[in-house]
Amino acid sequence: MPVMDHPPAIRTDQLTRTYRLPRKRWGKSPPADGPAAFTALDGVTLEVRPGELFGLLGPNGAGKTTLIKILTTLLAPSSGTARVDGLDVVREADAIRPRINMVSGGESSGYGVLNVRENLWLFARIYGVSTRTAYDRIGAMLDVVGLADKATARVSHLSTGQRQKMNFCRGFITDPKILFLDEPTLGLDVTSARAIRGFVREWMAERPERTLLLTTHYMAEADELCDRLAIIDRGKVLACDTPANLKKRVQKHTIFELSLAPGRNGWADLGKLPGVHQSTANETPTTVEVKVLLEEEPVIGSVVQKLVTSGGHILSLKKVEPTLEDVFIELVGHGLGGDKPADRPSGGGP
Amino acid sequence: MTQPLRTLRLAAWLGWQLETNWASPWLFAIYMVVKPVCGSLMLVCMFYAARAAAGAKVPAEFLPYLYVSNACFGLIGTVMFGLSNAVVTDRERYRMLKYIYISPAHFRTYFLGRGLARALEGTVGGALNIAAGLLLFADLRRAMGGEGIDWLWLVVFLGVGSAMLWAAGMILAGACLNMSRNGMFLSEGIGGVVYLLSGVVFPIAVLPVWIQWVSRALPTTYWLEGMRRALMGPVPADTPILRGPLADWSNAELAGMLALTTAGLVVVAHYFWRWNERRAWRLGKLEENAGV
Repeated sequence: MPVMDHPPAIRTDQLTRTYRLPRKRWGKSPPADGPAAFTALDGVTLEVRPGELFGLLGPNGAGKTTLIKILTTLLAPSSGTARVDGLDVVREADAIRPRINMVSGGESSGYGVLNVRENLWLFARIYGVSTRTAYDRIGAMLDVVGLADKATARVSHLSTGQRQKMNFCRGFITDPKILFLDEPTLGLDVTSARAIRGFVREWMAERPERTLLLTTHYMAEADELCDRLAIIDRGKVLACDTPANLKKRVQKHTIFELSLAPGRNGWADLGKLPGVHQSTANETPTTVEVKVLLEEEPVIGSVVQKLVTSGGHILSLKKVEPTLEDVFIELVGHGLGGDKPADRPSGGGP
Repeated sequence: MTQPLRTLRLAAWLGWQLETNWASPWLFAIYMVVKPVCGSLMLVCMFYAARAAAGAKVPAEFLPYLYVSNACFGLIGTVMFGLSNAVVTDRERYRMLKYIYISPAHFRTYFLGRGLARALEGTVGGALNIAAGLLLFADLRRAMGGEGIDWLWLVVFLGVGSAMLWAAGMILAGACLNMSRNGMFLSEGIGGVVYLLSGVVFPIAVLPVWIQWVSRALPTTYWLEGMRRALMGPVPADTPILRGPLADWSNAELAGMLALTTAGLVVVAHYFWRWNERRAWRLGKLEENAGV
């Protein structure tokens, strides 16, 4: 539970990060009309309270990882300010570093010639953890992620998933005050991901003064774990609230999911029907999954009629309660998997 | 333990593990001997080829000169190349540089520690190389047995040389922070230039005068001259071909100039590293991976 009467654990104000795009290189010229720079973060203002498990949700390239890099002092902001535990990431980076740690999912980092225990011990010692405490924590963490039997295995002999678990342990053995988890369960098997989510909840419950910032692609993970969420796209924060409050935003619409036989495209114009707020579709080889947000429940009759008259074959139809994904689609215009918008109330391409 | 000391100790431990644990101890021991000795033997072959072609124009004293110089230069190459290699491998192979950077570890001291492991490797390699030379070549035995090793000056030149090696390594490592993995080519190229200009296989007197002045600005030139003196004594007066512009300098003058040029190099290394570190942080180069 967040600690309310303390200054923010993380605070950003109009944080912007721009990357210069490569200039002319041997044998290659950049497009004459191409942009000279790319804005990864565009005026992000956020506040994370101490003790909070805060989530960042957004599609690839939304700016989540760039934000984490700036907050962990790995990257300079272009403009704006960011403070971690009350300290400025530009001027007080050295003071921030002992208080934080970061885990990036989906990467196979680690000193390959060291074994798992040595890798973790090295980092624990760098953070000033005594060898005895480090070994205790390493043992406990390896049990959590199911790597206890690999403690003395060389990292170069581990699979990518096992390395990722080791890195997850590296984030926790230093017992940071503020922890940044960037897609921690990316690519992990279901059992391991569940164990990690369970451990994160437990860790936060046992240490109410700790703060955790999590980025994830998995809506259910964000819904299950996060006290509050920010939805971010193209470098901008589109919404920031508790999962429950975010879902209330789309509660005003009735949502139906239809499964259609492939081969017909009567679903393409559903969004133009009166009473249909939004419609998205995801084509698979065997079905077309259509989701419609309706102003009123009876509008589903018009939707069905439109599909039938267009020659569509409805395989199934069900009413659904709103999820974070619906919130996401409402705000961003498409799903995390890049679901094709059947049409969109206001401009922009998929 | 304060953070810089802890960082130094852990980085040195890590460096040693990374340098030595890639093979079994026996295979590593063989590598430690074979690598430097083979490099020196190539020069020895060139010496004998030149002597066969030119006769007395290539005096016997040339062999100890180039053998000892090359053995000592191995330390320069190992540390300079090693520090750049630490940046590139930590970032692109192990992908751990970013985690080191955001940790409380003192970033610059971390590379000092990594350099210590390389320096130990280079020193042992150099010593084994000279030992092999002593076993194989009578000319080397005569040269080193003449006045014996001057241990005091050896310690002085090794001590000041350590600072020089670290500073040179940090300059190249700093540049590599802002380059992709191909930054290793820079280290190799700079290493080659330093090898040419420092009088490793020939006295700098054979270089054009203006290049000699470049050589005389390099601390490595004084260091190699000092190391040769400490190990073999001064260049004999009857071998003018080996007597460069530093031949008449005293050991104290050499050490003084080495200290002076090293101090300059350390100042340059300090600011160059700091500028590169800030630049890499600004541009996001600390985790940029050129491979995948």
